[in-house]
Amino acid sequence: MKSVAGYILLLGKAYIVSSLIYLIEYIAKIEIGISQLIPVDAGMAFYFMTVGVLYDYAYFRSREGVSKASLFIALIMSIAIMLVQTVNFVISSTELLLSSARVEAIYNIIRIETILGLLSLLLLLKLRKTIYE
Amino acid sequence: MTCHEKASSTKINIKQPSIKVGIIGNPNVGKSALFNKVTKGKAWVGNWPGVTVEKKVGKINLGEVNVEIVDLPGIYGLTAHSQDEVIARKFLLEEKPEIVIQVVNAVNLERNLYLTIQLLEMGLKLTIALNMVDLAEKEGVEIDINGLMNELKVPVIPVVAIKEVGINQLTKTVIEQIDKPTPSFKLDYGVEIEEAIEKIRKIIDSSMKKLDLRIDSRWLAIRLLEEDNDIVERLKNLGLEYIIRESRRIREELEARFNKSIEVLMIEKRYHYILSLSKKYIKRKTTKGTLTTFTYKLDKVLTHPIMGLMIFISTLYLLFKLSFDIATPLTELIETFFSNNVYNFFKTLFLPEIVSSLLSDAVLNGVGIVLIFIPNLLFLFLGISFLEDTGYLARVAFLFDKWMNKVGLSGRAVIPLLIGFGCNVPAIMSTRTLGTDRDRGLAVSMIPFISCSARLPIYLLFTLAFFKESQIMVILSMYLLGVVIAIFTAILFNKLLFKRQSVGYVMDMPPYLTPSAMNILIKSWERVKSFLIRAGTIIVSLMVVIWVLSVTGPEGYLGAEALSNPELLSRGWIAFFSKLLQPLFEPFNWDWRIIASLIFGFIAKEVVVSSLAVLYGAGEQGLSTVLLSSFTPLTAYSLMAFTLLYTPCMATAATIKTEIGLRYTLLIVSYQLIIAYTVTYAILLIGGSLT
Repeated sequence: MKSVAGYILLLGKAYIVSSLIYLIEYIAKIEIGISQLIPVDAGMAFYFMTVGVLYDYAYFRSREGVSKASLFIALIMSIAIMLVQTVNFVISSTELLLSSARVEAIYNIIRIETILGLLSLLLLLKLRKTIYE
Repeated sequence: MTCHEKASSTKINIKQPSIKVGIIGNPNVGKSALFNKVTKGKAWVGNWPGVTVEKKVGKINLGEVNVEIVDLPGIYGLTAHSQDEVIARKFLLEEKPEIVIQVVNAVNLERNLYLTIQLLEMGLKLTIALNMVDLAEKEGVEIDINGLMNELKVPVIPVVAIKEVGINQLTKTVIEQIDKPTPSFKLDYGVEIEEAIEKIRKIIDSSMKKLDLRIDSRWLAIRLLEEDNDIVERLKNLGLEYIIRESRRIREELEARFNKSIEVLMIEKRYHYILSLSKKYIKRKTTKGTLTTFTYKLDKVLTHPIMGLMIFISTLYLLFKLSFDIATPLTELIETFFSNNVYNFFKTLFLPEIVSSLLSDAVLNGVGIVLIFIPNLLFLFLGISFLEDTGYLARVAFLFDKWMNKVGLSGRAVIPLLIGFGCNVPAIMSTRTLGTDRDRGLAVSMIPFISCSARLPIYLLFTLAFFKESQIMVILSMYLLGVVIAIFTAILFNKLLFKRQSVGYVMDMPPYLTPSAMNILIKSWERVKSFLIRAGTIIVSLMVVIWVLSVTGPEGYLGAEALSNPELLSRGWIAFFSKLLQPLFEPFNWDWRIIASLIFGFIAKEVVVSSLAVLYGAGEQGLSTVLLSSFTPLTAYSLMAFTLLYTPCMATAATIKTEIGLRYTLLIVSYQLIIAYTVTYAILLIGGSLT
């Protein structure tokens, strides 16, 4: 359980750090790192912050037994943003492929929200018993 | 309990060819899910007569029987206190359904039994659909179905509506009920009250023919003893005042004897009976099931004042992303298809110019305006229906209830208002979740003041030209102005139009459920279809009117060229009316071209920009330069404020008309014009004195 809790904390931090990078970029008007690793806008940065806080809250609430309610909501939110991003990718790529801008279509699928969402999906699979019991 | 049986058509031979069935129940017990499963999504959606509460009717064939199924609003009782209760009771009394299906929540059966008793007392042929039996099982709730059936003398069918379990058995039971006699149900209210009921019943029986209600006279006597205003009114209208007088005398005698309200006494009796039923037929293995514990824990996070708010804002962001980001490419595809293919196709046909322009510039443009809303509406409603069916919206309502109450609304109203920032049309349509006419009216009056995304191009045009340094602050001030006026409107309308306070209601937190995809699809499609059919026709007709006013003038037909030629356009009816209206705008120092562009802005707010470009004889790119030479920053700011406030766009107005009615639409449009004029005048006065 300890390793799962550590994984949760890591994921929470990833969400929060990427939001912070966005804020720094936005305020200082500079570019840090790879653009795929930051949320696309302030709304998504806020979304990431919420999910990160929920993951961290779940971790700190109980390091042994994970706080199920917060974790459950955070997982749902992570997967939701991943799904929305994927649907967005499929729909917009149809249009982009027609205009042969394939690069942008591929760029969309490796965005941070998809990666973090997929990582949360792994967590869900690992924790499904704990959550639903 | 049997599970995993799928619904199918039941073939039973019976005499009656056609029957009416009402589906009734408390809110959030799965009525709509059951309705969708029974009708297999073949439903017609409209409004109950005279009100804007949604009415869903489905027609199905069960063997040789044509069944019309009506989904009634969610209610807790039949006392006719709230609008939903009035609608449900009116249906039961006047439309006289052959069978009534009451959907009850097996997890909280006790809470649903009050309505059951009232329905049984009405002498209705009742069938109980015991829904969510799977969840009840998980919760450790054991219900003695046979015992309950024998006690209440009505069929009780276990179902899981969302999974389509037990639906076949339910429809079969409904058909079997038709030929059976209505079971008699009598709750013993004690010797004295029973004597009083009997006395009133005898008086009623002697006048029953006059009443023409297929309703138990004992029920009427009970309602009169409880001083039911609706029943009293009905009797008055039939000239049966003597029954009212007599029942009033009997009630007063009883109240003097008990020194207590008879209504309270009778309610207590009903609850005692429910308690006895609960003790006999409902067993709970544990005091708190795992589901309740988890629901409780989730609620602690989702309704937390800070965490809950953060989750809500994030969820709303996702909803916007879903409906705007994802829908945009599809909207663009529709737009491209219309402008490149259909529009050009009509232009290339060898039709007389007037016919070709009417078809392409008016009718097709109108159809295009309607169709480009579909992706947005569909995705938004998919998201809202999903949140509604999971039970999350009930938590949002709870979260915002305290704040929204300050302007006289319930917490649920926060969702339509926020959707309004994206587009006012789906925002107005989503007020359907608010339930009462009063709440819908108030929310609808606020929405047109919320800055939708179509207003942004106007703000951008003027701020880029006049307020480059403080662009964000100026745009933000427009959004704030909209919100302030919306709040002011709600307070004003609440005081003047809806003097009655919001009906206090019990907020029942439904259990969290995995929504059924089919249910969500049906719900969303019904809402989109309703927009297409009802608002669509109005939009197309208005487009034709505006086209006629643009291409014709006092001199007659000017030619389709007038739509893009400033010189010709200045000779059209729109220019004519704009010039007529100009004296009204004299204090603003606006020339007729601004007024004309505002008239065009009724089509869609963003059209103001392109109309200004045509009327000033500049392309959209060169418009900023032209505006700089003709406007001052103050005039520009006042025009932005006027555009924000003056009238809802055509699609929004059409939606208000179909959702609430023509009179209310006219009232809102007139009110908005007055507000826009006053605020703009104030801006110019204050701004003028400062500069």
